[in-house]
Amino acid sequence: MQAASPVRSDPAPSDAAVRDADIQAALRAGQTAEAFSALVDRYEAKVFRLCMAMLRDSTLAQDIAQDVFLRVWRFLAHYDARIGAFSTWIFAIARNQCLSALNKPHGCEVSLDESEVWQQVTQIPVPSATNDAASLVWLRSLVDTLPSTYRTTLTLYYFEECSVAEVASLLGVPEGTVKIHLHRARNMLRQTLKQHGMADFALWS
Amino acid sequence: MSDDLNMPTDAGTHSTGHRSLDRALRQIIPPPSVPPDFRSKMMTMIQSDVSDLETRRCELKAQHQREVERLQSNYVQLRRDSLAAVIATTFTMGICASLLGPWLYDQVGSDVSLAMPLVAAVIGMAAGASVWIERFGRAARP
Repeated sequence: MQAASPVRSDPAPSDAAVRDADIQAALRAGQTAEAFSALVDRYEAKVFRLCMAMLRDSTLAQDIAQDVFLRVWRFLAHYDARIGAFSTWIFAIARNQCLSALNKPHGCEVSLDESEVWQQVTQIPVPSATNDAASLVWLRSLVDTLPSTYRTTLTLYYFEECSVAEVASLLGVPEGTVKIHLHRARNMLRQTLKQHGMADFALWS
Repeated sequence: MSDDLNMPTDAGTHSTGHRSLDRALRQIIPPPSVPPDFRSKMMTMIQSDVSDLETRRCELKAQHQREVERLQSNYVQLRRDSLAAVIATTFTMGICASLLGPWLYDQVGSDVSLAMPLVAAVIGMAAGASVWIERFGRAARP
């Protein structure tokens, strides 16, 4: 005789859904303006940082972030909680807007393959090991020449105060993927530093 | 804090180097702050979008109203035309019957009461057939 099957219950709401429950309630009450205001308060910094990490241009990032919230405003009244949490929805809009901006013919992003990246890296003048400011500028250049996926992940990681979970949420990827990208980005940086005799990390302290 | 940064294989090997690089990266990648005019610009964009939507809604409403009026006017015209056609046909048939009646009576004698409806039916069927032929012809045309 088969054991009785367990009673199926609704899946537990995600942390993001719990966090945005007040916005959901405002929307259900027909208070779209209040819900939107709360959404902007909660997500404007994150959306702006995501745009900055992907676009690397403050003016463009601001324009795209505003466009993201304009879209959110347009569709907020028709938002269906079943499609996912607000954060998932907003970050997906932001990523798509950034990718569209990057795909425009005169986008600020220049896509390079790995060989080009490394060629570019080797052309960057190496600072003297004793000059900390120059070393940091050089390190910044190295980060800029990382493949875009790794660079975006690494940048967001530091933007988001080193929270892998936040970065994963912003990029819409699993946390494991974020960790792998961070590891690879860091290894690439380390290799380049080693190639240029900058592997002594005491230089960076 | 570098727990997240290192892969599991790195666990337990948090060297000074890792921390130093991590610190340097944190120094060169500071979180950007949202521009102070971000919110005001965004609200301006939204207000402009709302007024655009309002304008479009008014335009669409006016267009809808014009379409409804046009359809109504067409419907009234159609009803008038149909009524006029029925009246004209009735009078024409009456005139035809009054003119053809005596001639038919001479031709078929007492069977005129049968012949008249037959002639009317043939005329009606011919009219119907012409309408259907025209419709099929229109449908067959590319």
